[in-house]
Amino acid sequence: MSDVINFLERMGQDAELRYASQDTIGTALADAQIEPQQRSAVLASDPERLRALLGHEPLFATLMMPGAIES
Amino acid sequence: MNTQPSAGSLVCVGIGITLGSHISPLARSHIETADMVFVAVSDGLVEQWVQRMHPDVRSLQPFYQTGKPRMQTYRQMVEAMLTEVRAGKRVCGVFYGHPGVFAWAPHKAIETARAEGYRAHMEPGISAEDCLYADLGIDPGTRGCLHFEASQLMYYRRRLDPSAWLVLWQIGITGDHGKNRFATNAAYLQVLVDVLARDYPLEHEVIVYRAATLPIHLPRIERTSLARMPHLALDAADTLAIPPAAPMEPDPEMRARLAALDLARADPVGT
Repeated sequence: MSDVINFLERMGQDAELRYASQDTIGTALADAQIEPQQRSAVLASDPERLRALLGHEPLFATLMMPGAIES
Repeated sequence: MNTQPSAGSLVCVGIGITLGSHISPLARSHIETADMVFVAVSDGLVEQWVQRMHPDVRSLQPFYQTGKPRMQTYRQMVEAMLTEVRAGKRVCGVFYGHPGVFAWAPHKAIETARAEGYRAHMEPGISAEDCLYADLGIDPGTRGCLHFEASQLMYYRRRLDPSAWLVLWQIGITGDHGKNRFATNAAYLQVLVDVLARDYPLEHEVIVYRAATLPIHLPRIERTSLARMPHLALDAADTLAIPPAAPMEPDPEMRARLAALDLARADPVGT
């Protein structure tokens, strides 16, 4: 049994999965025994639902101040 | 006199944009072999992925707070990493994309560590810019490509060249000059449109772009006109790509000089 983070890593690394059909991804998710709700979120390409299922809040993303650098 | 570097060290690595797809073997090795790891990424799923690569991964997210001066956040990130370097640890800072592109803290941390006598360096990663070239089919070598931080284009008078591509980063926080709202609105974006309208027609096509953070979705590629751009929903990860609006202007004087040089090379003895 895998988990969805390992599955996402595998999707990102595997040329056969990265742009695969829904059927292929669905089969891979079933083979990896991913939990049904997470499987549904992956198949729906719904990162917000997946983050919510795993308890993640939105993260701050910017690493540079808009406009000008003050050092 | 002891000239040996101090025991602590710092490496800042980029893990690329898309989870699993972009991390380099060297970046992963730095993460796995460090004494401790700090992480600043844009997605909780990506942070969870990085946490599996090392038993001591500390998120830099708690330093962010809405309303807190952004530079204070970035300085605290630097200090958190440097504190462990000074304690003799081999520290790895993990950043999304490229750690040296639109990222203040990694540059500052490396500069500070070196100034204090510690070994410090940066390993590049695949940036959002790299993804943009691939996803939009742009080769910056064909027409040239200017890049600006979007707000900087409003705070300063910059010279644009509408015969080249123009890419504006952090469009989704336009006008947020250190106020840490982490958002923008149509009024701020209209100011940016007015700046761009000095060089581009309002009906000119622009492209809102966002690279794929997870392998389960596709990049955002949304085409609209410059005039309509302020009415789109944007977030901090969105970028504005503006195609060339004018042909490249030939320079007859320089062409003549180059032609003369060609002639001189063809007839080196001047006969």
